[in-house]
Amino acid sequence: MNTGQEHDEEMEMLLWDYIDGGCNATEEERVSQLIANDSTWKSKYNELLAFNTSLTGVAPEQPSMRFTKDVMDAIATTAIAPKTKSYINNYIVRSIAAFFLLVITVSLFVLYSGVNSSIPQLAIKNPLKIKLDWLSSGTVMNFIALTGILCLLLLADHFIRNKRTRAHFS
Amino acid sequence: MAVIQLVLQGQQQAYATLVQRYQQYVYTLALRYAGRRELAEELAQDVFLKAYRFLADYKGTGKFSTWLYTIVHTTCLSYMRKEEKTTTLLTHEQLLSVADLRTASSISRLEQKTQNQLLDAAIKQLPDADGQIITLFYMAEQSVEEIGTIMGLTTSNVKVKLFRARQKLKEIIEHQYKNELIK
Repeated sequence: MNTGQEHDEEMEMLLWDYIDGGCNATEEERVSQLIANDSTWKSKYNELLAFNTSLTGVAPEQPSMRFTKDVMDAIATTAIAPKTKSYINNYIVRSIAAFFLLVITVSLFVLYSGVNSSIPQLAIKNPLKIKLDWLSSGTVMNFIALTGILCLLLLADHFIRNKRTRAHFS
Repeated sequence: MAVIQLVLQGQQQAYATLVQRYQQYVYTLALRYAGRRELAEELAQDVFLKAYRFLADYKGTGKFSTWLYTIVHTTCLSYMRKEEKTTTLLTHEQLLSVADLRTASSISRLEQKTQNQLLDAAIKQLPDADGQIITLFYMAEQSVEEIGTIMGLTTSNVKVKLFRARQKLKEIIEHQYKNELIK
């Protein structure tokens, strides 16, 4: 896009903001002055305003005559669900989140301690002096590792799902 | 709000008032995705059914229409995922050629080429998401912030998309209908 096109696009964006009432006081004053004193701005403003006015006159589509009846027939056998917060206990949700965070933190700490013991030259002192011998048992390590992996997979799924939804409509 | 309270208190027939008030907008939004009237009616019916079922979750902090159109958006998204429909970003040339193909026969069937009919036909040529933004802004009279809530976008993102949708719409109209629009 060349400079001329960029300038035109910038002018259009500002004029649309002005028409939509989205400008702050300073921008509004500036655009008003430009429309009043610059023929290019005035011409483009009139063009966009006419286009905007024509769009506001477009009527929505009409469904079939029996649409309301069909909806009322469908809800006749449906009950209104109770409020979500009445059956979702936030305390439980937060407790589960805290447990997951604890597991991830312990997993990372164990990993960090493992690195320490395998490379003594790079050993960093354990500032908390926590005895971690019991963690070296196979069963406990497997449980922590599996739980940590599960947490990471759930987070990745949530992230990818959100990213996909955003990309779908960008 | 009074109607919603009546429905929540058990007066099911009061819900018909809400349906009649919003059916055109819900149906029009659904049509932007479905492309077919029968399917759009099914989706719209599904939206009102969900809205009824989860009416107790409407907090009353924002407009009821915004809450309802969010259900429209998520319902249509789910439908598109199931049908594996994708929104393809068209280049300028592709957009105009698609508009040519879609309107060549439909325009010839129009009995009276009024400005509103031509504009409506042009809006239908837009990609789904652009058509939805135009419909939400102009027909459903949602603000930029409300559209952001409905579509899960930031306000600045909505402004940019609205700008692009308007540009595309203008191009379609200028390309197809420059001899027919009353200036």
